[in-house]
Amino acid sequence: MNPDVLRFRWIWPGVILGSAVASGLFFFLAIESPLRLIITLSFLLVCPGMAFVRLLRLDESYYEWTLAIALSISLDAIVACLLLYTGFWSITLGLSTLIIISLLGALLQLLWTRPTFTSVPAESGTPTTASIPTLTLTNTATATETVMPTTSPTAMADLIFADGFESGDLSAWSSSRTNGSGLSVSSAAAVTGNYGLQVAIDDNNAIYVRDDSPSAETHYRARFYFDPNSISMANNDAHYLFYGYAGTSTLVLRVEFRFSKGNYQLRAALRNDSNSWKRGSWFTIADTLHFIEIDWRAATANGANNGGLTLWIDGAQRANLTGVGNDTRRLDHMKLGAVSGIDTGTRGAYYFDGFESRRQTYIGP
Amino acid sequence: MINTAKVTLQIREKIGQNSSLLVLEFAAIASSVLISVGLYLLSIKDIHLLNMTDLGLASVLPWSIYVSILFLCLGFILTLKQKTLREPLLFLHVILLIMMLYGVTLPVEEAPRFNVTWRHAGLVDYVQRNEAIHPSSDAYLNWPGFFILSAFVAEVAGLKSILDIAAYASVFNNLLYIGALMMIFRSVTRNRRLAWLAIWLFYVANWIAQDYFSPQGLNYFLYLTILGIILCWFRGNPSKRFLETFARPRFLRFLSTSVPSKELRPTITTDRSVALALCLMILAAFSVSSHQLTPFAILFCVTALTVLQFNSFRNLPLIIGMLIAAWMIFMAAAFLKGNLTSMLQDIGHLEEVFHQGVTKRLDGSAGHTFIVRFRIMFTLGIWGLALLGVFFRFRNSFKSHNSSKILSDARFLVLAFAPFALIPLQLYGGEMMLRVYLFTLPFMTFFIASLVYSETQVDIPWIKTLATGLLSIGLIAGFFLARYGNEKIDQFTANEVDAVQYFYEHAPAGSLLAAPSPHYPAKFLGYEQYKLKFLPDPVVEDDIDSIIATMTAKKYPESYFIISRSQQSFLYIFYGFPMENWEPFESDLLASGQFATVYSNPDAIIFKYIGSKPE
Repeated sequence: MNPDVLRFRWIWPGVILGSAVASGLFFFLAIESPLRLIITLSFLLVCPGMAFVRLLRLDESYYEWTLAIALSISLDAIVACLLLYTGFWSITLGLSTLIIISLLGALLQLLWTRPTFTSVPAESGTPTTASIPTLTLTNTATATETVMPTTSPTAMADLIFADGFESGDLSAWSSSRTNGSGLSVSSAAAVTGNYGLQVAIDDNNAIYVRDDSPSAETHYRARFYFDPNSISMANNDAHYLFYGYAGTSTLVLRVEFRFSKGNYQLRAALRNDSNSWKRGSWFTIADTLHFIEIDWRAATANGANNGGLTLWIDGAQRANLTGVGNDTRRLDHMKLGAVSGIDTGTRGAYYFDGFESRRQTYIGP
Repeated sequence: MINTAKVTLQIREKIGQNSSLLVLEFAAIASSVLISVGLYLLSIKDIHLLNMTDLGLASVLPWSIYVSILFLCLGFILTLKQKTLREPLLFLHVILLIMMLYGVTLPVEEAPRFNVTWRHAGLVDYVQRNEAIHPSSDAYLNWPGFFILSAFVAEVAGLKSILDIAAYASVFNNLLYIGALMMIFRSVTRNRRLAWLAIWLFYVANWIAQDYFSPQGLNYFLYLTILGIILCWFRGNPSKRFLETFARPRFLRFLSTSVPSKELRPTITTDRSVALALCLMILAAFSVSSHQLTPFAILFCVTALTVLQFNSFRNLPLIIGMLIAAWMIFMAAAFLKGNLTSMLQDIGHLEEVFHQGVTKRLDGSAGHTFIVRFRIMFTLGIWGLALLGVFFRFRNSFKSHNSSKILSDARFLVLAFAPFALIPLQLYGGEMMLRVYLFTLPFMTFFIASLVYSETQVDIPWIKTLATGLLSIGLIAGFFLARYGNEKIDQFTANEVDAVQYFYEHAPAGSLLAAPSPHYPAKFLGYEQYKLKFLPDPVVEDDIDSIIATMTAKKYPESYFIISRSQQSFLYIFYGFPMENWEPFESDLLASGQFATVYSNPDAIIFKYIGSKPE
């Protein structure tokens, strides 16, 4: 759950309670005032529905408001019709019923909005939640319930960087190479929230965003959403979507994307201390939305040869490269986009969204 | 670990690079909005309704109103073209557009417009007074949900009459539609620019004017919301077997062999889907109780989606069908008993639908005939542009073999055509074509907007921008002509209201109020207590005997005949009855010796039937 949701979880129950009390006072005390029209209409129009719609935790406010108003109007009407048809027409009874319905919903909001995110003081040198452009994974019901980073103290130290491009630009990233308007934040690319990263390829120049947050990491996990968006690629055209670097320029980790025999495919690779690459197999992905997660590990000691790389696509493990001697490798920065090797036969646009990197824990969808 | 100082520095640098451009963009948008609002407010006072011709409101709109909306269009298009999409700004533009288009009559008209508004207010008054419903006394009372709700709201809010707020219904309803439209459009596209443009076009193309204080105005919101919920959270995908069976043509074959559809909103959890299903049923239940047509439109759309496997809530058509049937059998039995035969006879009479909906309306004064022809052209223009949009959007998807997009768009195609199935079923007073236009409009405007924005397009070339601007301006100019073309008879003065009020204050219950036409503010009080009759033909033919016969056909306690400004306009526009003929007609009425003038003001006159003088 988003901490803001918790911080403000009292607001709607409070508004509903206040509105119900005010409407009741105006009506039962028969107060004649222009305010009565505004307050009572607002209550009848929004509160009975909002009391319950909030429980659905919809991700966009216009969904919430639209459903709340439609439900409020319908509940008002159904209560009024029932009273009339059963011969108990009474405005007092009708308004009381709606106030009770609203307060019941508000109470349920308070009871069911259990915190899964407890705010803890940031560690020294660790950015506070507010300073991190956090990814708001509220696009799906399951995501809302289960996917939000759980911020136990461990989790706060775990997080390296996250950006869902919701600022509407690339300012959260350390730098970017946009090649004019090739790399942009757009609503068309949005998977979660309102914006995503659109990578529009119209030449062979690399375009990417870069994050310098990793700091000599020995264990690096990254998760991002990727949608090929039917990008046009000639057969066997391939290029890289993700690069992880040690220091300023030593490539140690990469994710490659290609088009082969009518299929889009992905594979991951890591570099050992002697500069050779260990590659996973190509795995075919559909022309649809995926979440990609990688887990790169440096070997713990010289000769231990226990470094490795795991690749998950849509939550299923697709490659697990182990036994790699890469104890001298560290991860210091990364690039995401069309980072290298673009072919002339590759033109069009694909999308990224919801980037997040961590030191330890699995990130998930 | 994030170096926050570094990030801050980068943000500052970025802001520094773009600040001058941003300032210019914002200055242009802010100026457009301010000029638009300022000019509009200044121009409103120059609308002189009394000078209106049979072309309606457009004949008295000062040019500056159009210029003000032109600036609003400019602001909207500039906002759409910004690199970073600022939805609050687009939202502000749409709200202002609604105010300007749908609230234009509010500051200048003396009383709520449209005679049906007054009739509906009368039904609300009926519920408040009787605290019961007698369906056999009026067809409206077979679907009284809206009137019961309005009576309840009026009582809770302490209103003297629902007419105190009825005039704002058009603006209110259209504001409600925004969220539901956004739900619908965002279910099929990730491109928010495309969604906002479709919303904009919806408002400039909605000339049907069913958003006044009426059951259908509110039910349209329920219709949009129900479809929005299904499209967002109950999206089904045709099975492979279904596609193999029905996508047999060669050019469609790839649909059944391609990857599963890409969903913008993944499947929801069971508890949430149960909650949303319950929500759907509550909305449907209110709709069924409050309007006779909208539930059928909902049923047709939902059934079409279900049959084509686009709706995962497969029992919904059955549930809505049962709700409709139960209401018709148990609550609207009085209406069915009297009308079932004629309703069944209406089925399949397409020529009659066309006659009543189109050719019959091509009658009346030259100005009115022009308005009707213009409305037909406007409607065909919207449908034509939408078809063009369908062609290009599907062509692009077929070219790229993008089966996900094709199936997603197919949902909209289904909804753009499903309401047409209503046409052969009912004449609906010759209004069925209009209602079908309204039910299909969101989907039509989406396809028109997709002529401008593709699924991935964020920026559009200036030539498309210019074309969008010109289309908006053209539609807005057309909107005023088409929507407010009957304004001369739809608007009422305070004098006309006073005259009718006089009748209600002086005539005993059971009295008759006859009039040349129904176009005046009547029935807002004593709905079931007074008898109203409309006698256009005897007036046009100066047949005083026929009028007297009507007055004496039953033993009314008292009988009155009212003539008002809006009725005179009606007879001029629809019957070609010249304005100068009213004076001789009134003289003849008085000369019969059976009428006496009991009330008059500059806009209305009431004659009381006093009967034959003794020989």
